Amino acid sequence: MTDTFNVTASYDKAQYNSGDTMTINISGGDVLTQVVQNQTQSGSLSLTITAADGAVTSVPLQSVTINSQSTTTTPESVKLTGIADSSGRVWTINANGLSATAIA
Amino acid sequence: MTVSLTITAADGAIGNVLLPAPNVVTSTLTDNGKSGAPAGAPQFPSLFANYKVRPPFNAPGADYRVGFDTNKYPTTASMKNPMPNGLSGKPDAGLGPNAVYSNDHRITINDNNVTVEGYDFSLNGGLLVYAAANNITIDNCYFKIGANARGCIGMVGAGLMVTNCELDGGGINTNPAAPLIQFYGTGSMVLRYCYLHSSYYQHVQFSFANPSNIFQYNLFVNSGFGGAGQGAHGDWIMQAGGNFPDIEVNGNVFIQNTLNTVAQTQGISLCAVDPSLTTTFNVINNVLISTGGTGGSGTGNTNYLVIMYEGGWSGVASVKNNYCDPTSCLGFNNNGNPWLFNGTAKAGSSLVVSGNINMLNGASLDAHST
Repeated sequence: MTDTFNVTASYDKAQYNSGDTMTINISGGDVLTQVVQNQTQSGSLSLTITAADGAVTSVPLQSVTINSQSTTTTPESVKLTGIADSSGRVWTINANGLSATAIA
Repeated sequence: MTVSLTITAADGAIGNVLLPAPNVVTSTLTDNGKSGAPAGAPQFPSLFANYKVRPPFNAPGADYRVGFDTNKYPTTASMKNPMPNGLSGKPDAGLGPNAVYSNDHRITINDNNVTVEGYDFSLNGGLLVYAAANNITIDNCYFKIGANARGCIGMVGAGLMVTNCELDGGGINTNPAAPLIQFYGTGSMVLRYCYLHSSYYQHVQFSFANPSNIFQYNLFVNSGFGGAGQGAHGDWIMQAGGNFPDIEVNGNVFIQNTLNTVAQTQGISLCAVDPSLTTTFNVINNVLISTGGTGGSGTGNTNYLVIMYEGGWSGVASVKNNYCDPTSCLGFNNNGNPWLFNGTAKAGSSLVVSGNINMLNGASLDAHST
């Protein structure tokens, strides 16, 4: 099971003045990829063998294991759950989990 | 500096997105009127969001509000009716004891030193305030041209100050033709902290012999809804003849952002007609934005940001430190700059064009032709 994030984040303005409210918005999502290993048993076999003179016999064969795998992908929603700003600025994550704000 | 975002998927998986630090302008902006501005939200707080360069000064309408003070008047509904007893009654006492209403939808102020404060002149179909006395102040009032199709303010007295007012032309053709404000008096004229928008003709026209004309800390948005083809000049500010010892256009924001089929302007137009008198003309620390069409072609909506007929004046003129977006300026691509200084000034006159910046790329806009 793997998660592939395809999320972009951006500021709502190219430039802020001190005191402005800054907003970061995220968009996109996650794709969950699941690979399932499957094993099935073939049935047992009985082979009919016929000699040149017409004599007939049968030979049994044991069942064998057949391995296979299937892959499923599921899109999933994402939320912003944490922000670490190296400048020490404190960001507040909005209730929708898709944006955060801070004062410039 | 970076900002690291933790992203959590619905299944609990955790990812990470790294952002560069936000671009915060930490240098202190020059006050440019902010400390004296009316309370309330600015009209265009994101005006500079998409420009490479913004002005180093606070801009009216973007960094602070202009128009009426919303602490005093949260909405126009909290303002007074200038005709509280209907149009058949007398004007409110606050307009002066000798104020008169006339049937052409005009209230004439006849008393000197009156301060008209906190009135909604959009009521009753929209009323014109006519300052016929001296030293009149109009403060914290709202004007909107309505069914009466009259201009907002006229002046024939000596001395008029208009502050903290909003004037909305509504794009309505006035009858008789009039700008939002017509200064035709003889004393000083001051327009400060006002928001003028959607005029059919000019936002402001001034003439005759005002010794001092000050336009400071105002927001002007979209003039000329009549369009050039209909004879409306649509200037942001138009000098219409007379002698002008001092003209100051400082610290304002001018925006023209409609298609030219909606509104078209000549920009700031000053054309003194008596070169025998000395004029000081300053256009400094303004924001001049022309968008909505293609510059240098028929789809532009602004002739020039500033037009001055150099041959018609004598004195000192400065066009300095203005921050501009000339995208939709018709003259811009024709001669490489958004200014037009036409003719040759009288000997001894000087013209300084410096420090003007194109906000789109930070380049100088000082080049000009005469």
